[in-house]
Amino acid sequence: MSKEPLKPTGKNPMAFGANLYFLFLVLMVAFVMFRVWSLVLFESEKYKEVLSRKLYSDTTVSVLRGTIMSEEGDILATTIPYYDLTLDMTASYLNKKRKNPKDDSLIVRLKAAGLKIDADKANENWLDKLASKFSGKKEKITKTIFQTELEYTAEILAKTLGERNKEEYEKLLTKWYREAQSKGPKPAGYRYRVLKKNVDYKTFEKLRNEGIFCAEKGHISCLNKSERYKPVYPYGNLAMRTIGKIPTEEEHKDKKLFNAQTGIQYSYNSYLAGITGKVKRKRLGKNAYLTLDDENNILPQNGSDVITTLDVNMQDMVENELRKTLTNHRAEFGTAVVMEVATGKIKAMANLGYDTTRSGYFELENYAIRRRFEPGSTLKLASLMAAMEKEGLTPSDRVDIEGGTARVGEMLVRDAGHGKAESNLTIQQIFERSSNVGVAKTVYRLFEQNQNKVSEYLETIRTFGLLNTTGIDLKGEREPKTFSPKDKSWTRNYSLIKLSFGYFFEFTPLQILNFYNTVANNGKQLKPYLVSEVRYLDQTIEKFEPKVINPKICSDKTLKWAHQLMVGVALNGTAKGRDSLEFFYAGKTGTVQLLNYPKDGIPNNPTNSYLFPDGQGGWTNRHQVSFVGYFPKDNPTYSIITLINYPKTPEPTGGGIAVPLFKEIAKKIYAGSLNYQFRALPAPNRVAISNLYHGQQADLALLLKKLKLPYRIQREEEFAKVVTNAGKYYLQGNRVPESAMPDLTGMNLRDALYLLESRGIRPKINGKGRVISQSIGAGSPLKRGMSLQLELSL
Amino acid sequence: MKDTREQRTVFQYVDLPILLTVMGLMLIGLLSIYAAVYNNEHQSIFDLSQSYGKQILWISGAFLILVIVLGTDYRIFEPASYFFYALTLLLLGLVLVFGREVNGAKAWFEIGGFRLQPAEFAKVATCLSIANYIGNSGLKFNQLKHTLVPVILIAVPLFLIMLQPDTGSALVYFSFIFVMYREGLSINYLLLIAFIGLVSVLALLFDKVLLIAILSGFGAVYVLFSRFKLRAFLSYLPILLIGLFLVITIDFIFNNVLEPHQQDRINVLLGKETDIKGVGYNVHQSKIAIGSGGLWGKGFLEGTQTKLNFVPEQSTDFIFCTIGEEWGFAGSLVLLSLYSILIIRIIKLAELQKWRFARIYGYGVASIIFFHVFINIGMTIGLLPVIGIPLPFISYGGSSMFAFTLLVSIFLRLDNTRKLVLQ
Repeated sequence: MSKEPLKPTGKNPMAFGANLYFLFLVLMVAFVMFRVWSLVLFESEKYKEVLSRKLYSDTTVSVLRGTIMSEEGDILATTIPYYDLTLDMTASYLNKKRKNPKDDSLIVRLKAAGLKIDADKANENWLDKLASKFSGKKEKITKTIFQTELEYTAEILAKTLGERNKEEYEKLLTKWYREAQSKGPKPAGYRYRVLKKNVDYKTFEKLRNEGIFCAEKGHISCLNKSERYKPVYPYGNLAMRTIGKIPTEEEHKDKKLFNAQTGIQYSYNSYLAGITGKVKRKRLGKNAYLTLDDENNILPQNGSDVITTLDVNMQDMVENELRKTLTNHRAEFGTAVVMEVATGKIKAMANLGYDTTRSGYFELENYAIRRRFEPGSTLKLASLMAAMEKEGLTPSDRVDIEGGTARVGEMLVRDAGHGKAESNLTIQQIFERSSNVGVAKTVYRLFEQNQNKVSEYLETIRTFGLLNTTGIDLKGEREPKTFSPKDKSWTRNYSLIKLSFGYFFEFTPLQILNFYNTVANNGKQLKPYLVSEVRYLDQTIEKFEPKVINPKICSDKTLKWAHQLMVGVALNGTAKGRDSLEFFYAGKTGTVQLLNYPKDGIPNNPTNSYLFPDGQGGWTNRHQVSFVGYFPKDNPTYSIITLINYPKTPEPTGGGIAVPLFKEIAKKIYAGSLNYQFRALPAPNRVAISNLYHGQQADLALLLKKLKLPYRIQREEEFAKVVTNAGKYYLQGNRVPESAMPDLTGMNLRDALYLLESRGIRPKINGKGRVISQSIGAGSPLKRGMSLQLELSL
Repeated sequence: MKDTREQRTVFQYVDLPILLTVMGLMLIGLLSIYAAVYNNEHQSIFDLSQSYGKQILWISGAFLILVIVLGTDYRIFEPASYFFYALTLLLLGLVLVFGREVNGAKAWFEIGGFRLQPAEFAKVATCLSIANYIGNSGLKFNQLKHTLVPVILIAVPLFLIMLQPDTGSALVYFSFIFVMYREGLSINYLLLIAFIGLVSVLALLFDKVLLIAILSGFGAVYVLFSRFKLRAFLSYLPILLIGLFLVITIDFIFNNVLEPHQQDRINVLLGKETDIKGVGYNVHQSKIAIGSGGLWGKGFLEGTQTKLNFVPEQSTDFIFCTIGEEWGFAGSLVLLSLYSILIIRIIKLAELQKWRFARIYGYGVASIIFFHVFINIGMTIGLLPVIGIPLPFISYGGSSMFAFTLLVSIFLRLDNTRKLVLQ
């Protein structure tokens, strides 16, 4: 090298620059250190807390909702676990490199998965072909798991989920994948993609081992399932308003969100909802957690089952009859309630209203407890009973009804249906013909005209239980509207008269029914109720017995006469039928002329019943007809109210519309009651199943754990049977074939329903408890719409 | 060489402080990588299927490079610099065509399972050629040509790297400004760069009209105080014009030149967006790791934040937070001290060089290492936007390990010569 390598630069001329540079470096390092120092010194606690929040988390464990059952154990509303399948498109496994082995071609694997494949369609793709042309060796080409598995996965998805065809799934997955991989801005929710909602466990299991979902050891599958529940109403809309709608999952988890206010679902939510678990967990790694023992842990508990007093057959029949009547008379809405006289149990509660959008009658609102109406003639019984109880009136006392029109006090009272101009009638006849004049004159004479005893009248009505709510175990019962001299609008010599034959007061249909039930029950007033028992697994948590509100509302003599009055209505009066019935009933009709109600369409609103802003108040030609009574007359078993609002039939009366409905219901109950007795007989050849349990393996394992019984799992499956051998318990996995009838014996109804639901079978259920026999044997091939009879027993 | 004493081994006269600090850093790096990707299935640090096993390979390779460089004739570096520079430019060009795309940047050649990042080596080549050019006697920065050539030497690889795009590596090229400053470039250039940076940040943050008013106001006051001299006015005018240009065009540059993810990162840094889950995620997680590490750290392999994969890129760009979490402030202090020792020692030795080429090269080495450390740690603790750039000798990766070793080895070789000559 000619050039002299060592060029002496002599004295350093740039010393100042060097020092400045040096200073700059020192300052920068100091700055960085200061920042780290401040992170550690001032923000350390904050970050430690953030970290502990990330490491230790309180996790809520959602639980299944309880089932609502009929008295006989038929499931009225339940939930079945279902899953939403989601894909984690950022799962690292998708980007893992994989060689594309020759023998692992799509066609071979699809055939292995039991799918019929068109051989030409499933050819190698162009990239493989190109690669093998270049290299001669196909194995050299590496692609990501996603790329190699895409086609196969799409095929499997198309066959399994069937919502799209293979090409569409391929497009969809590629789109999601690209969006998750792109460097630029990503669309919202790019990470977790919902593949399908409401999928059963089986489908999830099936997919988990396929294509891109099947992760190798040490990797996490991109397929996730989030458990949800699917509401199931085996009887459709039956008693929908009484049972209530199954709340959404969010409402189920958080009581505060659930504010439907009606139905058993809401009223018994605390039982049905169960206990949402809360556990402290420590994060160990990606998707790996350790549940810590913590005193604040709340163990999750599934919701309890609620057994109602409802009888499914009766409810079904009542609803059908009510619908028929409503349809025949093109009525606006109606309600029919059947109550067991001796207990107060509601056996059926139907509420149907016309839905203009769906053009038919549906359970729109619980009219029986949510709406109140002027009772009309059905209150006359209470008026006359008060007079008998307090003023010694007897059915044979006579009143001059002055031909059906009379001035009573300051009111001109008219009877409906002016026929014979009779004058001198007994109280019995007055009641049978439902004479307003007769009742008004009697009550006015006894309680206001001669002596001021209005409050005594009102007090007696109160003793009858009419001025209070019934206390039914459904939230949302409407308070009755009362009226007394304390009210401003009370008018002397007028208001009491109108009250006496059923105006000004407003009651819910159930409140009226409850009064008649009390009379039928020999004066013993009961609380009507809908839920008889709360059960968890096979244990009774709480039992609800009939509750007496008032052991005797009046004297036996009054009761006897009241009974006599009502029997007369059926035999000779407004409810007299043209047909002869094999049983006798008793009761009272009611026909109320409706007031013109305001445009918002809600009648009998407490604040505006009598105030009409548009000045169009007054009577309309609309009527509400009702009948309330009980049967058989000598041994009252059921009391029933039927109420039809605004029938379009000309000149509607309770006798013409509500009575036939009542009779139809009573007749069918009576005919059916023989069957009930028959059904109550012990079933022959009952199998002892107490130690043979069959259900979801995880549930059974939990159960055995709770009972501290040692057990071993034999074969992991979704479902398992408990087998005992020499004091040891074995959970024998039971593979449930997809295309054949599963073995349901030993299962509880929910598990059985779950299995049947996914196979499209709707079973007929008899009894309660666990399945002891199934009408189609396990292993039989399935047919769509197959009907299966299940016998259940405790 | 006849005029100097024979060297018995290549390591004789090698500067020990530099060698030891580098080895110390490599060791810390290896342990940190082990801690960052540790898992129960692969407990052996020599497991070649894991990053730490591979890092041992890279370290071994680095020593091989050191030995080879120390055994090379020192006279080759100066003439070879332009050739080396041209070669790396070629590679930078080729990588844009044949490179493998990783994380959206075409920065890698993949040869038989080994990935090579030419940008890492381009730094060394640029450093050498700048030292070669400026090292020529008679260079004056007040001549436009003498200023322009180094600027072009910097700009060409910078431009090619920006095409990949790899903003982090490109940013490092600004470190050569400091080298030029050391060699006589007016401080005004540095001030101008600082001014551009400051105005850009302010223009992104504050009202544009207000900024224009302030800039004009300063000008007015300046001209006022200099008694309306034309010279004063003319000297402020370019600054004002640059300022105005920046204020007006910054939004356009921000929206059209920067990638969306870079925009987001800058927005997060400037506090315009607080997005803990999205773009700010990395930095937030990293701050949690360092902050929760406290003064003394949680101990080796005890870092939950890093072990649970909360921090992405924790064995490469975010390795500092592993150290911060497991060794605490004390560990960070030790690490930064090692870097400070290394940089100061290099500068000190550079100042001692009689050979201008060696001195300038030394400054280049110190500046490059400093830039890497400052940007990397600055981004980890949220001082700077997130730019992918490795921590020298610590971060996992063969290319950066080899490139930094080459960088320092050449300097050691040059310094070695000084000692040989002195004796």
